Amino acid sequence: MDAWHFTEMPYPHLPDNSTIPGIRVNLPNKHLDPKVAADLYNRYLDEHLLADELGLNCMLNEHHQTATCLDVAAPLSAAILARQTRNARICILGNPIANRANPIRIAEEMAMIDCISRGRLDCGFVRGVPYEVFGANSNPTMTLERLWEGIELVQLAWTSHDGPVNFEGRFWHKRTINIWPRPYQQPHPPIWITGSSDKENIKKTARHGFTFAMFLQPHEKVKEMFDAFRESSPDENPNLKLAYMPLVYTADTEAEAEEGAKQLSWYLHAKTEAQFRNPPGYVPVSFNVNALKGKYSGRTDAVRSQGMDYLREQGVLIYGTPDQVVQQIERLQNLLGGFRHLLMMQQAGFLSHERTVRSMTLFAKEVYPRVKHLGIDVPERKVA
Amino acid sequence: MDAWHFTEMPYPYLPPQDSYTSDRVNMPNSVCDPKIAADLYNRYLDEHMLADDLGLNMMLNEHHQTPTCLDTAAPLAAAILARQTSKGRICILGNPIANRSNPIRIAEEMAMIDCISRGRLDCGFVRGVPYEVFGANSNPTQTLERLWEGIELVQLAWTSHDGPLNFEGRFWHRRAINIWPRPYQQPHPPIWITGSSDKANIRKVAREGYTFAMFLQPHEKVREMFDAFREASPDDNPNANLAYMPLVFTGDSEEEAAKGAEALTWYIKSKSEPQFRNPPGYVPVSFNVNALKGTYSGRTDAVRRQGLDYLKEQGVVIAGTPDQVIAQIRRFHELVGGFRHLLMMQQAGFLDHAATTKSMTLFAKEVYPAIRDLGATQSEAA
Repeated sequence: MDAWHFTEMPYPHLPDNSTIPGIRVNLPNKHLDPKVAADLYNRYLDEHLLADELGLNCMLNEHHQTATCLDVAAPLSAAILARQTRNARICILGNPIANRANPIRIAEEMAMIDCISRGRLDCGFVRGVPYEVFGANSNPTMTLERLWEGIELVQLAWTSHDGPVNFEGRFWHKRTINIWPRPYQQPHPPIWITGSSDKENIKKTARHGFTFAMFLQPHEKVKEMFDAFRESSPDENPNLKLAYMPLVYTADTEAEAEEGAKQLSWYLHAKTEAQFRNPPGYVPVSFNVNALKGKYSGRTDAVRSQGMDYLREQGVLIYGTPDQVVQQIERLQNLLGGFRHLLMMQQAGFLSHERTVRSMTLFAKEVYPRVKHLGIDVPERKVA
Repeated sequence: MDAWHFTEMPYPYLPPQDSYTSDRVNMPNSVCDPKIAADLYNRYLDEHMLADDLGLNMMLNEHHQTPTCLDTAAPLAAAILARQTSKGRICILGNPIANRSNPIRIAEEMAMIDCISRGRLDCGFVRGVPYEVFGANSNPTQTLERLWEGIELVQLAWTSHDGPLNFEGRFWHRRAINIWPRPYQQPHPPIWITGSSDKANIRKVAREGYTFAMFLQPHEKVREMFDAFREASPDDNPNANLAYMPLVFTGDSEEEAAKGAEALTWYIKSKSEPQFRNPPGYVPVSFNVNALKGTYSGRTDAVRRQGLDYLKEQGVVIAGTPDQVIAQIRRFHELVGGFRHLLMMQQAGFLDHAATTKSMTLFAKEVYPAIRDLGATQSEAA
């Protein structure tokens, strides 16, 4: 099992939730003090350097126009980590390619980072969360189509070495593609994709040999999606390409663990105004019909309003003493049928540097050695 | 005078020059060995960190599809330096905004770097060199118009703090602009623009209060353009907003300096095919008429073919022992009527790490203290 440290790099010092419309999209940036932001950036990057020293990998993501995530351009922080870390793999999860105008620039950025890191980049692509359609001024329909065409174009740029080539797609026409540098890894960095409920998309991810990641979902749901992936994967061991992210807090005592876990769950309570959550066309018609019928599942207000015991039972939140964390990870691995990559949101909200460092260190020293062997065995095949 | 270290971060290990027609645009990347590229990136970044230690500032640029410049996304290198250095200013010169699709993303990247660096970013914008129009698939006409509208949009994003707003321009329509983070510097990082011969543009740069930079041009030309800037500038001391880049090599001896300078001229000799140098509409009609008449001036084949003595006389190359470098800088400074920012290409081509760091260190210790007073006072009236 590979363990990855992650924080969304939040700016949590906000006015009371009741006095602001929401955290995402339309929270004015006058609420951000650049000096505090500077300290936070450097602190979160220091925590990633610690992850590298502790033998963990580093995961980054990118969000726009939100206090939940200061990492507005993940290639920048990935470049910093490429330069400052030695052993860790660095995963951007992911480049919001359906909301960006030029996949060739993404291909160039990734190739440069791959070279600086000497081949330690894992490159994720996402369609972008619904509320970022507004800031991106992008078309909320056809985001999946743009995602896949964008990936095709990036792969073409990464793997063409004989001079300029052209690409005439549905969403992008690019001529004279000839990127410098080329990627370090051959044929190119591993590709990851995220998802939550679109089984067709998950199966396509499997067939392409990409890694599939899910975040903060109830374990039944995750098992269902992981099984869909396994059924479609041509690999002997599909579990090597599966990734899941819970919130993770490891502490010396149960009481301390509960305190830290409470602070981590800040992330689940981020407020977004209703009109930003479901731009027209972002989800299929059938999905909206189900929502109107009250059948909407997934990381919803229902999950958000549950207590920590429920979240822990569901596998969304893992916390406790090292023994307890080991036991919860073993349980999750069993429930999900095995997965190689444990992506751990070990910092969120107001969780302080001291607490974060202590949790990371305890995890690396007293949990990780006992769970490293998990998730990488070839899964049993279902009897046909 | 502020001195800035610069390298275009070249990948110089190319096939023999007579076996290909262009460095830029269509040199296949099969020529690029990623392991060597990795070593070069890390070496060039180490040299920037040395610059910071030595009390110099750091300048970066961005080019695409060319071994002359591995820094294909300057914001990445700037982010690294923002994080790894603590004293020097970091100038991206510049973001090729007329060739990029989304100025809002540039505004976000720059704000993030400005915060990480705690306010040490100088943010340059360029229209993009002609040969990069092809890889960018951008319109070679109206690049200046896109440059200025892009800057207007970035400034709007940087200076708006009360929630989402819109921008309906000629080239960009953007709604719900509300960047997080905001820049560290108030009202925003200083803006720089490059140019070489468009006086109307230069005067506009001056009126906006931006810094104007020129590179590797004969001193007469630089004088002419700097004078145009000074005439139009509302500032008491316009020279504080002027920048010039020569190739610079400081050696223990004249022989060593000549060797270093020769190595630096690799940059001037890079090859691009004629069809890439002048895409239709990139320059005004009058310019092309002059070119056909044979009166085309600027950094041309003529300059490229000249020897080191000529290049030194013109101020394109500054090289020698520390005393000689001091004298050349003072001379150039006087010839062009004064300027504050000395941008120094101290590495190019095959100039190796040892030679580069030695030159940088000699400059910082034995030249810089003697020229710091230059450019700090008002120029003589024209």
